[in-house]
Amino acid sequence: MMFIRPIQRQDWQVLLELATKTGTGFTSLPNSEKHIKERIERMLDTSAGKAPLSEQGYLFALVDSETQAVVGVSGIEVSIGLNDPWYDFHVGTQVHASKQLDIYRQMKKLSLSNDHTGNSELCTLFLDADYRMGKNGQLLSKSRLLFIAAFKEKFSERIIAEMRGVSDENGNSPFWESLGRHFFTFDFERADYLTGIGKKSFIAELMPKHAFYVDFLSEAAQEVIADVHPSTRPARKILESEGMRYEGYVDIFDAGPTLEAYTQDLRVVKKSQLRQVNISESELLGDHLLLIGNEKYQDFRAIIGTPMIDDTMIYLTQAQADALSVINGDQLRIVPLFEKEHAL
Amino acid sequence: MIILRPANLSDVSSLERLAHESGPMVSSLPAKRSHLLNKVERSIYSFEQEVDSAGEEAYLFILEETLTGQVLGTGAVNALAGNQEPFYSFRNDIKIHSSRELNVHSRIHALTINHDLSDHSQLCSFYIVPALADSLYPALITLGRLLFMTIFPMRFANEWMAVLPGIADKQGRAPFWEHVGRKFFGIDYNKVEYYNGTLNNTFIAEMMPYHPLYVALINEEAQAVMGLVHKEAELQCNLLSEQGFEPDKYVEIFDSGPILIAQRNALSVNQNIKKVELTLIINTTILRTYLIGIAEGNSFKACLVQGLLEGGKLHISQQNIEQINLSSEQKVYCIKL
Repeated sequence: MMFIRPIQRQDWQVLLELATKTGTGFTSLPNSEKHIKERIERMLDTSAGKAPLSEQGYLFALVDSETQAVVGVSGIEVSIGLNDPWYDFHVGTQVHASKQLDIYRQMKKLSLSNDHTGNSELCTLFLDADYRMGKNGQLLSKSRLLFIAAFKEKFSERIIAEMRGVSDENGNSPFWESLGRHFFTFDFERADYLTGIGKKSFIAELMPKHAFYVDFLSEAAQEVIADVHPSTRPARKILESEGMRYEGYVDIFDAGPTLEAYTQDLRVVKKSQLRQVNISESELLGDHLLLIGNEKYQDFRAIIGTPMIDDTMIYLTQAQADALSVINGDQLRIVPLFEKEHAL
Repeated sequence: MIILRPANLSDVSSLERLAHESGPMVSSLPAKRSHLLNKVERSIYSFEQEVDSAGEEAYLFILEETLTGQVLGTGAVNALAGNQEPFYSFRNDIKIHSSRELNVHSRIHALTINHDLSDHSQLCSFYIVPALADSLYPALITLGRLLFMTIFPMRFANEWMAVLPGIADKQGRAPFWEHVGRKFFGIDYNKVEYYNGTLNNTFIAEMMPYHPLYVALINEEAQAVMGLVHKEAELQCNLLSEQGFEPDKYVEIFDSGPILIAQRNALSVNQNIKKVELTLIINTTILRTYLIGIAEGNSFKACLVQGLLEGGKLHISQQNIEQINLSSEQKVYCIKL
């Protein structure tokens, strides 16, 4: 059985291994022991209530209960851009028109923005290639939403998720080549890495401060604006089905789209319900494929299953209850895994 | 004798012919009769005014062969480049982007639309028939105007400038337009220069980019021609440069032709101008070419003569004296060419 649990101190080694597998464009899991350890400490501080708002965040591990191996990771940042400014490009429209000349033109432009300052952010999603099957990706990504639903007051009114933009096998980004390259002297990979370890001040110092017209970029660059890397398409679909939308903001390096939503509008937040645990000896199956999470802030667990439910109860096997770290009578939060499912 | 003189109403037809010949390169001489008539009327009015300081005046000069009455060229001066409406140009700014931490230090160029040069006096509408392109007469048109501006300083600003045409081929394709202006207008270069010469400036404010354009993002073909002068205007460019005009960071907005700028006091004409008395040559000694300007009241004309300058006297031929036909009220100024 696969289950979600909070990251622990001793997970640093396996996280480092996972970080080496992610490749360029996966900013927030840098290939650095120091940074990974620091990140884990920050997560633990958050759980313990010791972190200031600007540093709060959560990291969850996907565990294979048979091997106890950590095979995936997903994260949430509570309030971005409160220490280092949070940058993206806003995709705007500029109309130039002259009645006298009978000319009308719409031009797309990009401008550097800090508009998402203070938003919560879904981040650091990575699943080991060997485990990219079944519902593992869904569990890894959506369990975060269940945690947010359970602890809404800990998060911001708006939530975003940056999607990785287009780059080729060699780590080249057409958007970077057309824009970033002129303002920086280094490769996209390095810019990405520097961002991942928090050395983002260089962005303000070197990036174009004025809006610029998309028409001046190469055609290859124009095409990838708000487009995701092929390997990220599944993740985009998942988040869009959960209520997140592209609303005109892209990453400043690879122009990958930022998906966003009001936290309260997320499907899982709106539709999740509570049930009481009832452990039964034999497995009782129900009609819906459910995402199931406990209500424990410091020991959040989540699984996927098809247990029987009624108006008040959810009927779990002992194995499921163990994975969820609950006993009879505890509250669980449930929601259909897919939005297409009928209402509970 | 070929002279430079103010335009009058009888010149309009000739001007129309010249405007057709000159094509889009001289956008301020559009091939539209009503416009040309308007320009001449405005010039006549400008000459007639008693002027304390530069305002809305615009002076139009004609190059004429007095023997035949043939009109061979034009040159104009606007007292202020942007009197009735702003004079737009691109200013090439350098922004320093640097990060000490990363040891990166870049100079980023960006073109910003501005009307910084609105208060400059502006030389414009230069044209000479191809047959005279290699003669001294282009100098007569250009330096003649500078002489006029030096003799009547109250009519002009302290800073002067000239917009020279940028690179464009015979078919009227201007690389800078193709990769910059066209993105905003969607029309041909010839068309926009025509609009520029005939319409008021509102269309520029409406259609041109509000934000600075990063030069690094402009197509290389356009970058390469920025600030370069059209082959046919090289002569003008040299004349003005020799006088002391210099390119600064301003270029024309459509074809990125160079805009040359000068402080009045720093120009050669200012240093070398002399007020003289015209007298007959005594013997044929070594003669030099002089441009002389003849001013009376608010009128002005200029021509080229061979002569010898001695003290306050310029010795010229009998023929020249008769051609010029000076009256007692007229003052004569000269500069050596």
